[in-house]
Amino acid sequence: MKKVILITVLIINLLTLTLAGVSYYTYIYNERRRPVPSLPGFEPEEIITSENIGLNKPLSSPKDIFIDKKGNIYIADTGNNRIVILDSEYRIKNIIVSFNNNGKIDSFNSPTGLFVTDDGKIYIADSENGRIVILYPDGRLFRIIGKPVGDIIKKDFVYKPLKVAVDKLGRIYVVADNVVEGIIQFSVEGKFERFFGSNRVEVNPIELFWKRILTRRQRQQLALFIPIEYRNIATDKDGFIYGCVRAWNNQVKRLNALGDNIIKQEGRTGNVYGDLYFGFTVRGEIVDIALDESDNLYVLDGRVGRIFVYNTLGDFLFVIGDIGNQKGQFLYPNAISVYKNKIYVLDETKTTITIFKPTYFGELVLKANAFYVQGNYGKAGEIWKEVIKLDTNYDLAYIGLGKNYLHNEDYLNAMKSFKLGFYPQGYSKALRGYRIEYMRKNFSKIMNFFLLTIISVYIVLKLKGKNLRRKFLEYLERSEILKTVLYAFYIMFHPFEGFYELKKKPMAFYASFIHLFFITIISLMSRFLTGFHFNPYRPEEINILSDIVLKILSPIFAWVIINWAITTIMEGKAKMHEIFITTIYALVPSTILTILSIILSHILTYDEIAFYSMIGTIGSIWSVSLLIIGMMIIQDYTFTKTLGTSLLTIGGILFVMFIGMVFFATFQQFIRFLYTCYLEIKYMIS
Amino acid sequence: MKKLLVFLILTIFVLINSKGETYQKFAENFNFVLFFNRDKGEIEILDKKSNKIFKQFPDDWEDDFSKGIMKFSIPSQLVLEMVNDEGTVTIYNTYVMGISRGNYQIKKINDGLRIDYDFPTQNMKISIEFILNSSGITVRIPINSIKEPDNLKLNKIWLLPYFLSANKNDDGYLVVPDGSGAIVRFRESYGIERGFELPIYGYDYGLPFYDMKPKIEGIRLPIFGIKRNDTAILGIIKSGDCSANISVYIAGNATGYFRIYPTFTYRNIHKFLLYERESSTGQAGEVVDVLVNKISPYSLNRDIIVDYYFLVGEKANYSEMAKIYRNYLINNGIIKKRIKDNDYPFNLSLIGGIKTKSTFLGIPAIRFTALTTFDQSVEILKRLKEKGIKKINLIYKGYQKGGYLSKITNGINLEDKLGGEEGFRKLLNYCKENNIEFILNAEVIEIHERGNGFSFERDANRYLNNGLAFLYKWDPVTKKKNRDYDPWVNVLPSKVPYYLKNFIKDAKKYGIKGIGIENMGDYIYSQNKKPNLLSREDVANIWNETLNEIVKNYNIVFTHGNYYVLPFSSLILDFPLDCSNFGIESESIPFYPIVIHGYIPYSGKPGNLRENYKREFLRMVEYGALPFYTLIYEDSSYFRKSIYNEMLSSCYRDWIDKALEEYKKVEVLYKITYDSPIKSHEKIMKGVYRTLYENGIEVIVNYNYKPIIYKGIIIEGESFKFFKG
Repeated sequence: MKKVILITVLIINLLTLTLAGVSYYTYIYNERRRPVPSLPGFEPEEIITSENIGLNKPLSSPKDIFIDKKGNIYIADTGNNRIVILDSEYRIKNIIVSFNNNGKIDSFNSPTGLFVTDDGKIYIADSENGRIVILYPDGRLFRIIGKPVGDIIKKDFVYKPLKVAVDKLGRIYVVADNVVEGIIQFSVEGKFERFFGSNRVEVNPIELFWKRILTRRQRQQLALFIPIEYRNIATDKDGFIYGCVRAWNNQVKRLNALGDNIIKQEGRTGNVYGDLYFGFTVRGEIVDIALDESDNLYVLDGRVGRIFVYNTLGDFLFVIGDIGNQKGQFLYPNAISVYKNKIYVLDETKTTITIFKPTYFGELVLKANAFYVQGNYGKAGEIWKEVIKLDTNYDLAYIGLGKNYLHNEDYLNAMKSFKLGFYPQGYSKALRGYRIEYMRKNFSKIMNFFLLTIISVYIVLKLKGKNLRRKFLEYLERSEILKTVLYAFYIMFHPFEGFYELKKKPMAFYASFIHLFFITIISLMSRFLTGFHFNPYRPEEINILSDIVLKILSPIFAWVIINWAITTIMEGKAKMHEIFITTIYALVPSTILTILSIILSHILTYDEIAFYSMIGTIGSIWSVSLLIIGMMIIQDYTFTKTLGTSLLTIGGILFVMFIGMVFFATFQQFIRFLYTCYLEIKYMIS
Repeated sequence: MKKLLVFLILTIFVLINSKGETYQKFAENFNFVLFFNRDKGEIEILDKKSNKIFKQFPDDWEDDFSKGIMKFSIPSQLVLEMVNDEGTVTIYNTYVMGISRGNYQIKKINDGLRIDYDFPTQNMKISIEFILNSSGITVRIPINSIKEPDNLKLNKIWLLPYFLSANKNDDGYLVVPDGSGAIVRFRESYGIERGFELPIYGYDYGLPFYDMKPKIEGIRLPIFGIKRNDTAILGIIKSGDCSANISVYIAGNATGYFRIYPTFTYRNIHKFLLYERESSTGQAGEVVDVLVNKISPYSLNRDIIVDYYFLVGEKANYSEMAKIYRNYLINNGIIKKRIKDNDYPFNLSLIGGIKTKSTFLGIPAIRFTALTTFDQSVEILKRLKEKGIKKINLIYKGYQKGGYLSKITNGINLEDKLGGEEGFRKLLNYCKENNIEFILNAEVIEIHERGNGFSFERDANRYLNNGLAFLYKWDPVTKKKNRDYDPWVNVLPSKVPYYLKNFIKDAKKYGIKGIGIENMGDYIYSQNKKPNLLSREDVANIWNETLNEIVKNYNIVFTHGNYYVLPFSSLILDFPLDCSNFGIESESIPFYPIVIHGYIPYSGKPGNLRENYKREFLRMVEYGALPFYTLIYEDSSYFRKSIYNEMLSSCYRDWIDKALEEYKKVEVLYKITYDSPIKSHEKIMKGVYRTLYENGIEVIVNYNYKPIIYKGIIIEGESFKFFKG
């Protein structure tokens, strides 16, 4: 006999909130993965408690909620072993305590998961009874699905189904406790089909061989998967299965029919869901997920108490909520559901359901986003403009605007927007368009300019060429240092003679310092003046001094000193200052090509990155060759010996770095220890 | 036989009915009688007119489900939190240790009684006085009556924790001074929620703390109250407010009663971080802060005085309580009518400039960026005037060299990039000629950079361990310090007057009549730099003296409106228009607005920084606040690279139309309500509130999406209407 208790409550006294402002801090992540303030996308609208819906027995450790198509709310009241159903006005519609199972009255034991299909059938994960109970909307039993049986299932498997979901075809997916093989998939009739959503491993020949040899039993126990433990599952409006797992990244998966993860992660936060980092006292844990009509993803972290909202491309939209005792804050939120545009969050400890609705800002973003993910950049752009007006930190709006400008071929504005929103890929595309446009518009002007330059240079050379040349050479004769500096160009093309002669030049040492100065300047220029898309950085993050010391000077001096040490042992004939000179002169071609790179970076785009890198590679190879040749000359080594000592030098540098780090770490510990002692003494005395 | 029986019955009758035996009368005046019950150790006050009795604690406390220390705190007059050197807390209460063991003496004093508690075993003494007055009682703890034991120090005192209490069957609410005010209804259900204890006038930044504070409005007024069935009590802390917290708990939090009471900190505990170590839970990566406790060498040095006002019948509601508080403030000269006419102003704050991270020829640098020059300010004001705004208060910030949030305003050092001396004078003249009150902002509490006569080493506040008392930006993800930004400091409270006076001197030279003091109305902090240690009370006194001098010749603008700046305020900005929305708070009430509307003008947070524009606009109208915007001339994106990246939107071009729209919407209403005090406020139904002014104007605000009908008129969803008389 089914027993259904119907309670009609006449007066609803819900805690409807009239808030002015939200009680939690809201932020978005910038390109450096740091939080910046941002307007809240959702605010709390109602809080449902056991008392204000009129439950005689209050909820106890409720572990799941589900909202069906009509807005009815299903609560798995786990501690009371029952299912509470509310209608869309939050009045009690039904409380299911038991059901008729073949003439006997049967009830639940710790129902922890719920799902309702479009036809109204209720699927309950009756965890301690090891079964899925399926009821008709009126509470009659439809079917019970028990423990899965199959070859792959171990005989002593303890089946404890925690969460359940159903796809559009009626297949049933179960997350069970202590199962690392994935989600258990049942057919419509309830027969075990397979483990779903685990990372499939390609079978290699060796495994195939072993499979032939081993007995059936042994084969069964071969692991053919990477262990993965699901925490919860959900479906979107098309019936795709989404699952969340315990992990530090890739915590949310969207599974296709094969069980492969096809979720898009094109956003800035990449494959990490939830907060990108944590403090020392709380580590995040994704406990549930939900999807809305536009396929936006809502991720609930039960430990930090926050709901993270992403669009279908993986862009981070909002974060709301917190742990605490203010409205919109939780003690232990464990289930989330989305209906129309509202978010429902169940708090197991507070035994309440908090309902969030979008703020004005949130509505704008969601509207713009709906157009944006469909590629309707124009309509999205109009709304993104409003978003930026309200919240200047909202990078996605700048990116959305940039894409709109790009689409309309307004390249300059696109570049500006992409820079503000920090989106190098977009910037590169815009730059390409801008370049083509610029070329097209000013083609004649550019051509004329070139022709004019070539003609005038030719004329000048023709007329005054000899004169100028003579004057220059005279000046060169007088300034020994200038000659030595310019000698670098000769060395670039005639290394063997060049280095040999360089040994004899008296001004070589001072000339090297002049070269070192230019090398430093150009390296810095490369850092700051390279085009945005090849070198994305925020200028305020750079520290010139540390750049100079760490990235330019230290490697050079490290190389010189250690090389000297090694080559002295290996019977090299060069003195330290000679090694220094040789090293600096060898760096000249690389530096000159860096200048070319800087210029090109403002003209080339991502697609031409191969060409851009090639310039850098040519420079490096050139310099390295010069260095080796130079070493050969000054040390009087053979080629192999030069290579050998160079490799030893690099090894030496690494060794020194290692020793340095160990020393530094130990030293730090020591200082810390002294400081702690000092503090303790200080507090004891005063 | 019969005679004996009659005699017996009579005796029993007399015994039962005589209050005289157990309840001893100690004082009586025109309105009240003060009783004390020796056996229960309970105070009782009888209101003669209504015959209502106000008892110190609930009668049925012994049947309550609570146990142990919590249970015996119910009938106690005082609960004392004692602490030893290691920081272990021991709880004493006057019921168990005093009343039930007889360790107390009662003395009759003028208009009341005094109870001297003496706990011989613990070697602890404390006294409490109850004095009857015309509106209720005054409770006083004479500070020199407190004698601490040798090995334990007195940290906190709970005063009459269950005097303002009720149970779930009672009808009514607690009145919490959270932000604008909040009520905790008894008949509402909250799920499993916790109560809270919050400091009055903000957290003390003279004590170090290591976790981000929750996002709350803060307690601005030293009051608390209860409405229970047909009686109400309002508590006003007259002395000791700077060292007090307000504690609020619901039935189910340890006991079965709703209660609200003040908790006074007699001696502070300063906690210093020694180091972080692995937590004992064994969870990988979990770390706890190992703290050293230092008990403050100085203690509260003035009496604790709390006045309790009793209200009955129709007067038992929060509107009446607010009016009583208003009268109290007027009678004591704390607030004066600063509003002389119905010319209500539009409040505009402009920021001159701020330091931002940018590049100079490819080299990164932190440079001053002009956001609104003086000429641009004139342009913005012209635009507003053209569009019909008649009266404007202009609060100008970030005019000094280095801009907003950089150096101290030790005098007025104009930034050349904003137009220098010339541009500034032009702006001042424009304001004078166009009915614009020019208010110059002084930054003398929070300073980011050394210079201008301010050095961190010499002039910044310190902790008890001599470390500089740094202020930090906080990381909302980890709730710990955000080390991306440099920390800054508070000025030594004793030195604030010096810098303020120098500022005034320069302001005089320019003929400026209005000044704004940042932060002073938001929080108050203790000075812990040896040898000159000052409690928050002492600091309030010092600032009070200086402000008393300044207010004679200047109009002063404060933010947030802590009680101690009320006597000197001509305008309060960032005024609380909401409560902190704790789970146990049923709704927010306009307690503070009712107290000062019509006397001191106020605005909530700037319209361009609202989290929910429509809702907060409606709240502005419901609570009678003025429109307020903080804008700049340049694009909002400049703030992204500054320390003030909470400024999400500030470009005047984005807001000028909305600001004007807002001004127009409230124009007719404010013209008739600006100088009128509020008579009452109540909730009519779900999402609909009514504010009634003394001059008969009724404002109905409908927060629902759907329209409602009031007095036959339709009020659209998310809008308001007003009715005359």
